[in-house]
Amino acid sequence: MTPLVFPPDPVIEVYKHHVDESLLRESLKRTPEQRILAIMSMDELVGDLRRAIQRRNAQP
Amino acid sequence: MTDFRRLLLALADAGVEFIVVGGVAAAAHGAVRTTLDLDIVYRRTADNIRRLIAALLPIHPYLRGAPPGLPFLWDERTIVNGLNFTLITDAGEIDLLGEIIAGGDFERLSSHTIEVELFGKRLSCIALDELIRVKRAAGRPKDFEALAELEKLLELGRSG
Repeated sequence: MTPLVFPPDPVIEVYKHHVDESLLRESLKRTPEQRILAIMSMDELVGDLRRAIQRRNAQP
Repeated sequence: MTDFRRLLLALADAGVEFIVVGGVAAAAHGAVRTTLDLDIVYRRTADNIRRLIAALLPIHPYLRGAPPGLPFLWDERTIVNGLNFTLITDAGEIDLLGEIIAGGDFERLSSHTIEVELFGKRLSCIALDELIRVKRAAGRPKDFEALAELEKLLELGRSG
């Protein structure tokens, strides 16, 4: 299968300036399974934070 | 939170033929953006639909966003009469896609996949360049950030 080559899209090129390449390099050191577990952990953390904020906001 | 492990194992253990696409596929390729749901393209053969029904039945699939109590039967007729389903289950959110924009159905997409080892199973995952191609073709503004990250990953991969 010949790899696809994409002509640069000017909008996406602008967004690329904001991509943290060091995070991607760290991610590529992990296995695919570890990467998926990492996003699950992040989702869990976000959920915990959201619930903590809701509890705090509910206090008089 | 969606338990991707539980969903993927439920499908794989039941022998469902499917391809991981979307945010989980992006994560498997190295993307660090979070995603809320598991997107899969499933093969629409009668046997595979039966396996899909059996795989998800124990985790109670229901239409995501639908009001509680809406009659929804998780059976072969429902799947045959529909195509794409956005579901909530006991293990979280899953999108079952009969086909995707610019990517087509399981048969077409299956020649643009890689095998990845996930949770002890060899699973089909959309290839990185194909994922970029279909996201570009879809042209959704919400995908621009994800596309920038995926194209960076492709560049990093090609530069070694």
